[in-house]
Amino acid sequence: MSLAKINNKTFTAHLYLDGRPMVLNQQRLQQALYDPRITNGEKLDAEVALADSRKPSIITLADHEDDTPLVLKFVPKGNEYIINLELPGTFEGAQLFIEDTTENLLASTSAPVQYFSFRTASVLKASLSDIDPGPAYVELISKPSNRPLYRHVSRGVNAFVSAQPNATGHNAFNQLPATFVIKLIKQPPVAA
Amino acid sequence: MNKNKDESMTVYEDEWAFWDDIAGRYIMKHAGADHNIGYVIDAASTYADRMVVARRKRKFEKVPVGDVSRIPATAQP
Repeated sequence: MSLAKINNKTFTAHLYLDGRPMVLNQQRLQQALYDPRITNGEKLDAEVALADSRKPSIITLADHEDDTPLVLKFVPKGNEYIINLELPGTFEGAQLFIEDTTENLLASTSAPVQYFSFRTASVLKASLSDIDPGPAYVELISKPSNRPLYRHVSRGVNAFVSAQPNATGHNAFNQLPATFVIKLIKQPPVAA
Repeated sequence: MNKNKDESMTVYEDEWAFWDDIAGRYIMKHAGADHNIGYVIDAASTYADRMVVARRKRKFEKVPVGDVSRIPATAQP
């Protein structure tokens, strides 16, 4: 294995957890409103959340495994990546960042640049070549804290946090980091 | 989802049989002379309502092409 790894390729990918695609909460809420049998309570909850300034920007999991996954663009910077959303609309060109106080993973068009890296079972700082052969299990690491992302379910909504979500303080209840499946979106080969 | 005792959600006609089944079975299991009837009925309705909502979250598809039907023996015809 060569030590000097060339890591300058931008790639796009989908992320999955428990078989469900990672999506922006805005997508999830809009999808929920398409359901003709939604109860009035659920409908009002979704409408309130969509009108909120923060809630639509939460990165979450789709309600159903068949929902359209979010397209994430990984732009390399050394061994780390800026993760952009490829989503038309209000979040066009938004990037992922960790919110200061809550450590939640959100999307924003105006937040300061933040970097992420990802690791596979065998490679601590993985790059495109490690996941190129096919879908792989990865953990996302937020910089500069160097902490992995955990799944945190609050009021039935999945969110991702970069701090141990165990509020009990007892280490028996510590959670393991979220292990995503990353699936590259294959692009037509570029002539060398 | 309204978690109060007085639920008022709309149940569609093709969901009534399912709703009745859940509520009826709950009452069969839990009703007795020494119980508060109001609580049993509230609980049966809540279970039925919430199962209807949970059922709506699942997608319903035809048997995949190339596979055989797998209706369980205990299912109603």
